[in-house]
Amino acid sequence: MPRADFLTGLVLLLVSAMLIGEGLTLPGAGGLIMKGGEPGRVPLFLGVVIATMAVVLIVRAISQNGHRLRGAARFDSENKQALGRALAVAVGGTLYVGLLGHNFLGSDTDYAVLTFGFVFIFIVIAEWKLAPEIAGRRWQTLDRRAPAAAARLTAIFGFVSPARAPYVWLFATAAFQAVVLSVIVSYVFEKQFFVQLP
Amino acid sequence: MLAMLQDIVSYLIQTAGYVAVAFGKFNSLDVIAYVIGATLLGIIIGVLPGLTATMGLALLTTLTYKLEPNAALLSLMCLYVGAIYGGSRTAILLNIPGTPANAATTLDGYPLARMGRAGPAMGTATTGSFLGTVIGIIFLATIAPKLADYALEFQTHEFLWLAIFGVLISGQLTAMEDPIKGWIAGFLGLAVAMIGQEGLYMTDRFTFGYTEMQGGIGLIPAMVGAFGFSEVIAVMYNRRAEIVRAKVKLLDVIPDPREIVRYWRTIGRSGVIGTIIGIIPGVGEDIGAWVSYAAARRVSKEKKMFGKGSVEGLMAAETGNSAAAPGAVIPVLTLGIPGSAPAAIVLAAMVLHGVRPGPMIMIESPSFVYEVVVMFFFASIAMFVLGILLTPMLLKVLTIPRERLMPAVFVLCVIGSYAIQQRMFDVWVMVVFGIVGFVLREMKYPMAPLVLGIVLGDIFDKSFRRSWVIHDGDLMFYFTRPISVILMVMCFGTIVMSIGPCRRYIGPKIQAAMSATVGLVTGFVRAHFSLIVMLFALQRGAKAPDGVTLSARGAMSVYFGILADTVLDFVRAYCALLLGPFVDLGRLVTGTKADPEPARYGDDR
Amino acid sequence: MLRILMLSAAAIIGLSGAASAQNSSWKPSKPIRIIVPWGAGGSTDQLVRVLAAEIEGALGQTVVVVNQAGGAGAVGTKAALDAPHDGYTWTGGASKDLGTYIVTGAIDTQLKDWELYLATVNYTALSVNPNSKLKSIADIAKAMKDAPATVTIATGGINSAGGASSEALKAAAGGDYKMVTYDSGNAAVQATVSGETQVTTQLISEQYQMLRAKKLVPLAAYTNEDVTLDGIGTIPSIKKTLPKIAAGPVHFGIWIPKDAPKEVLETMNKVWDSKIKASDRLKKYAEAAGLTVLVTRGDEAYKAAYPVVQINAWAIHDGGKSKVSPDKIGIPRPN
Repeated sequence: MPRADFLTGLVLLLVSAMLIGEGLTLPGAGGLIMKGGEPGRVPLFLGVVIATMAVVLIVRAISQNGHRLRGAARFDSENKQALGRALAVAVGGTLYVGLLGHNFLGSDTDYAVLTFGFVFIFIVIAEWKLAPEIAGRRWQTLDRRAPAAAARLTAIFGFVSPARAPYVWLFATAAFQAVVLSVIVSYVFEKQFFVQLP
Repeated sequence: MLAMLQDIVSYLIQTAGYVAVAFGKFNSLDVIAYVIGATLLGIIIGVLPGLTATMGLALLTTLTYKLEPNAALLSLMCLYVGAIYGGSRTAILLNIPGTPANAATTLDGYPLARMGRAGPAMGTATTGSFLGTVIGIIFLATIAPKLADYALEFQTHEFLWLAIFGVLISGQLTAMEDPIKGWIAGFLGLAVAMIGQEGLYMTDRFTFGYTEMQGGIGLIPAMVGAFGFSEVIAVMYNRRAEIVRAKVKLLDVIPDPREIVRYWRTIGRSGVIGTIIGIIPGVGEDIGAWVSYAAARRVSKEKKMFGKGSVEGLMAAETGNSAAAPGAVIPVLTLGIPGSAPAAIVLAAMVLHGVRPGPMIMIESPSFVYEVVVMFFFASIAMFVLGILLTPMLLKVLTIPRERLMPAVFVLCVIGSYAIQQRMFDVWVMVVFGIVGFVLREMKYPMAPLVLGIVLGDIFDKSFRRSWVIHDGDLMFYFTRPISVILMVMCFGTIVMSIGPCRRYIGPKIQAAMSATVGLVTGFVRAHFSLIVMLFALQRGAKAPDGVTLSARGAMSVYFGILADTVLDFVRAYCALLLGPFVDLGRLVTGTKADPEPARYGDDR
Repeated sequence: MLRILMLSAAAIIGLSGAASAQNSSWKPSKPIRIIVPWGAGGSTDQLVRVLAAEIEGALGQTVVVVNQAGGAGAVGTKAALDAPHDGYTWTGGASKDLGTYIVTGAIDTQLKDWELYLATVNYTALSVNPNSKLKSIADIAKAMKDAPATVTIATGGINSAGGASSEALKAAAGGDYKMVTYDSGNAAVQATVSGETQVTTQLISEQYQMLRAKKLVPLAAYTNEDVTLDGIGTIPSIKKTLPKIAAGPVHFGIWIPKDAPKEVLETMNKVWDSKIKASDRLKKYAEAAGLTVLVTRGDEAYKAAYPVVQINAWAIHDGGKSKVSPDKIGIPRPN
């Protein structure tokens, strides 16, 4: 944590520099602006307070050797994976928002289609590794509860049965969820709340 | 004394009358549908770890903003109460708090479940949540109108110091082990509020030339980001939780009414503590539960059971967090300042629906406070009934894997931040707050002060500068008004108390002073209560069980006896407190060691 | 594809609702959106919602009110300006703001770019706290001269109606005062009631409840004639004491971009002349809010609104808040 605190402290110093900078450059008293009511007063104050706290954070971090950045940044594979997942969600979400209402490949993106795509891709990527296990478990459950139905399904769709082709199963369920979600959300907001979707 | 009692009684009757009138406004069948739907949704959101009350409220605000104001706010209150309650299910069964408010519930709830008493534990939580909400509601109905009256006196500098105090206390309490992180979060929130055209002279600040930035950062998009999107990232970041198929029988979760009798002290105490914690700006349900839990443990007869499956501890935690919900709405209504993060959404929703909460509320829309009381009342009833009937069924939602739930939540976050103002700028605000919020959260910065800062930033900015303009920069005016002086002292006190040695020295003294004051008040009440009882007995010529007839003189001696005891105790405690520092100074000089200090509240966690 | 499916489904459902639109030549095929550039519950919002309900009835199509507050109305007005001018996105507010965004440099739009549909007119009034020592306009003028910058006047901001009125007072009476700005006109009125400030020059509608409750004493109205109001009595015209003061009323209404399809404007003209002029709902709302009904449109509306824009634009310029001089964009100084 000391290293993170040290870095946060530096970022906070930057933020406070911005606040102080804006505080000093905003117009001062004169004209209609009364003395004491200068718009830059509060940003300046906040900048100073945040800078003070940032310095406290940095000093505390240094006393715990937080300023030594090299060498200590080791991630085990589990941490790396977790970080990868978080990053993927953040980037994916940003991409989805970025495409909304913008021209993409020659035509304006459609909310419903884009939402379908996002949900579908999210589920497929997130469940890819788990797919065989999930599909197998679902199949077992069905087999146990309704063996007749399971047998009939196997007879018809045997070539794509979840146990044999888990990814087909994954694509199908993900697509189903994505369609349902995007239709419901588009319908409710566009037709019930009269929102002009992006 | 009797006149005062009469006043209080007539005020209570009057309040009850207003509440009854307010009930009349909710007489359509739609109301039942909204109440049931929203409460159910709330419980489900509460049950699912990763979906919090704040996130649910932020999204529901969008979903209800086309409704009539009363219907929309009713739905929000129901979701609020439902979510805080729903989180207890997960806390008891899985040792994962469903919402942050239920963290204290895990301490005793989970051990109870492991003893095979999950059902009864959930019943206890239901009782606690219901009674906690009811206690909070009673305070809301009785205190809020008086507080609003009082707040009318608030001028610019009171609001200034209130804003600073709010940020400080919220930062301090939500980041117990490291208050500076709470304060940083709070001040960052204040800084965020600086973006946009300022309210006094319409000067652009931090807009970088964009017209859209002139409007500033919207609270709802920011909160959807900080509590929604960042939670989505966090859930995917953390290890995959085991999917649990929890099986609970319907009959098991029915609360045991005898518990109310057995734990009435715990319930009453936790309800009051929860409400007060709720009223404090930006400090909400989670802290309400912790403090109630700590207080219950302190005075409990079965102290050793706490943390190992104490019903009393569970009751305290669940009563405390539920009482904080109506408590947090009290400052929303009377000051326009949120008592907790979910209450900030409630505030934004009220503004969105054209209600202007603040000191003027009792003048502009006098019935509104009582309508909110009725909303909470409906919510608590629905929570109680649905909680008992549907708990076994609702627990099925725990089997939804995160990979399926989270994309849906994110889609709702996007549309939720977009729909109200219908502009993409708000969606980008949501995304930025989501990512930054996730990073801050991972580094143990609390989100509640950040949110409070965004709300208070505007108030702080304007009152700070306005007070300078009115008083020509004469700093002495801060000292001319008693409320502003009190708030100022509280601000500095908060800072001083966060410094370790100071806190260790002053903390116990403040507690002693508080308990002495509470003792004085309760002694007074007890004396008068027994006096009234005795006067009744005298009139009827009743006999005590041992056959002795009560005389007027005897009654008086009992009355004055209690009074004298109370006052003496009080004086003794205060003398000790006042002389204490001198004794300590003497010890310091002579080098003798002081007695070891008792543990304090925060250490109990 | 989805969208097409849903649109066709909606069209089938919508057919039944379109019957009431037989009088109009324009039949909107989707909901109309009015962007209110102020927060919900404010005076603009309330008025637009009343009008929206009436228009909804006349057109047989849903009218959605969206609040986009910020930038003293600039954010929402810009959104309406940037939206396609297909007749489905309108805005509303006070005409004096609409005409001066170009002066403050907020948006590049002028009053003449919009078709104005005015519904109400509102005046500012100078009122004091009942305990104030200032009992007349003459007292205030004297205090402003004798001890400059001691009289505190609460306004809802320099661009607000109250801000323009207090500046006009200074220009006409001489001396100086201290303007204390608040979040909104209502907050400014409340500050005068609580005694934090001595005077307020906000709109009568914002003072209405307080005037009726006798918590504020009206000294003069910024009108040419005296005003008589229910439950308050007659407020003398400020011109009686200060004949040269610039006193402009504030007009509220709905704006549609002028280059919107012709049939949209023609249909709206009809709706305005028949339905809105005869609207009981509007009358009742205006009565309760202390507003005066003034239903007018087109050139007539422009003629009514323009002089106030002129006054306001120059007040902003003289206050040092303009990015361009008003005469450069064809707004001459009022005489």
